[in-house]
Amino acid sequence: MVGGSGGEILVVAEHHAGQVKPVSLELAAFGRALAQATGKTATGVILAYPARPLAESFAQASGLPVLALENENLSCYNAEAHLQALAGLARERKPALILIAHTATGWDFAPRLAAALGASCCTGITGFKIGDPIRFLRGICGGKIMTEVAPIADTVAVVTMMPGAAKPKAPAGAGSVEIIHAEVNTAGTRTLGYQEAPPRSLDLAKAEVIVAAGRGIGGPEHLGLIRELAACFDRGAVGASRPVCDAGWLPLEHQVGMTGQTVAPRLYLACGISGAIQHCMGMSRAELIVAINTDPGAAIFNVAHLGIVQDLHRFLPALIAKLRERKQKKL
Amino acid sequence: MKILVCVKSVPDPTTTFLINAAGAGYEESGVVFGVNEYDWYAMEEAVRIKERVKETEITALIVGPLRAEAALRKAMTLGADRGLRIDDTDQPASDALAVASLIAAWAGDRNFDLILAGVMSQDLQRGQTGPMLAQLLGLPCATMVVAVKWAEDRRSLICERELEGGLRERIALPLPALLTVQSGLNTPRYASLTNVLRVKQLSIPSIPASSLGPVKKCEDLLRAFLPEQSAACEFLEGDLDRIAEKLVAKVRQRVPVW
Repeated sequence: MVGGSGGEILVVAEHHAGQVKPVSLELAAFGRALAQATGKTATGVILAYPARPLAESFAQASGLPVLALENENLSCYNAEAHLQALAGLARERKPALILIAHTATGWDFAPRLAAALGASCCTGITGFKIGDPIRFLRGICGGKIMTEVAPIADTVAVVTMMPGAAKPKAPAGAGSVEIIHAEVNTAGTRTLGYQEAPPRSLDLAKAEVIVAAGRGIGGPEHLGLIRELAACFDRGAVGASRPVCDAGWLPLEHQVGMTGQTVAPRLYLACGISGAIQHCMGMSRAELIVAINTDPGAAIFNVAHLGIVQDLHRFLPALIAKLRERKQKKL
Repeated sequence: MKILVCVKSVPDPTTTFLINAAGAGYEESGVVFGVNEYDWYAMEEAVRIKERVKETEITALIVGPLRAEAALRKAMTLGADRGLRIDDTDQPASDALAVASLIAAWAGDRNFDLILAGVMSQDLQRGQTGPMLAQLLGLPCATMVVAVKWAEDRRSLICERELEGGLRERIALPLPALLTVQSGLNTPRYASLTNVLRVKQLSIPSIPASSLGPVKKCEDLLRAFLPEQSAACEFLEGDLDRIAEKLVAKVRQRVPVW
């Protein structure tokens, strides 16, 4: 077990295709706020090869002093190489906390790192509350319940932060960079490469209004209503939640959320969408969010500006009729 | 080939949740429980492997009280050979490390070639149990898997993991290994009547968690509460026509898109 009594917070950055990911700057801001509130220091960590350009870029954009772990096996993400390098660093520096972004990458290695270190593990948190012990906030049950969780006393805490939980802040100046050679070998898992998402014929980012369908529409036979509503707008498009695309009701290019497209239209009409955090991450920046759902407890109402607790099969025809009426009056 | 599929019993996501008396979770009485959605994809993938690889045996496992057996049986109807429940009634395995360490203690010397689990549970959404189990057993692991195929050597798997924005990462894992699977990996079949009847007659052994060593912990759940309905959300009420009218007016006022 690694004692977590130290005063350091390690902020683990991610990179892809030679760039530090934007979420890492959110994480740095979160780490800095946490350090300030708890009287600790925040240190950036990046694992890369070659490490210097990425480390300097992270140190400059975050303002954190950055430790760069360098090894040929760290040129792209490999779970085992990451684990070995980070576990080695944690055993040496005995940080109080290791902060990781709750991305497909961070989520992949964070629980294993915690198990390897005998550490506490709090994943997918959206905020913190100062106190003894410190509490992290996490939504459960599709966002219907909020919880406060705390790391186990006297252990290092591995914590993953939901993207969007903090806003990146411009630093006063660039942090220092220290390059450390990391000992890693990757006997097991081999990274073979990346496959870009197929080119999209639909760019939801250009839509002014998105009418998004969730599982609550009931089946692909009800998509006509969604399309009809979207067609009421000059620049309207049809979006979807993950379950709708998984079920094959709509092609993947319609998917909004963490693993789909991130959108910020003027108007987002969420129809039968429960409001899983992964979906909300992709649309919470819309100017006006309207949610239509039969379940008044659905988490979508926590992010919506206007809520309608109705069966969309009955409500949408009424809305479409109203919109057409207006249009005709205008003509 | 020996495959282990980990299943969790979770509340129906459309449940109207209440906070329990301890203030540290949801009230379970009156709640309808079912199979964690992601576990269906894990079970389906196991059954597909069994259809292609001779002498494959699928064991399905659940950690939980007696009520969890129903979800285990339901998941097994896709084609699992046998099931097992680790009974944590006496010392509830409240967090992911607790569950992972119990499964690791049981599975440790049973030489599974492949362990499959859902990417996360629908209720607690932590996504920790699978990767922690892999670490405790010293297995390579891939999470958020959306495609699986055999490598040419037939001793490793080529997996595609889904990253942000639809980007996919391809990795090769030597067996034995653990995968956590994402929805969309496959389309789970409907259980055949033969399998439903077979599973109904199977007995599901249970072993007490206490026989598997001390339950570990990796976090304390201190408090659960219902989030305040976002003050920003204004609910529109009335008959359908009236709501539609209000909505059009309000939208016009704030974002003049119509």
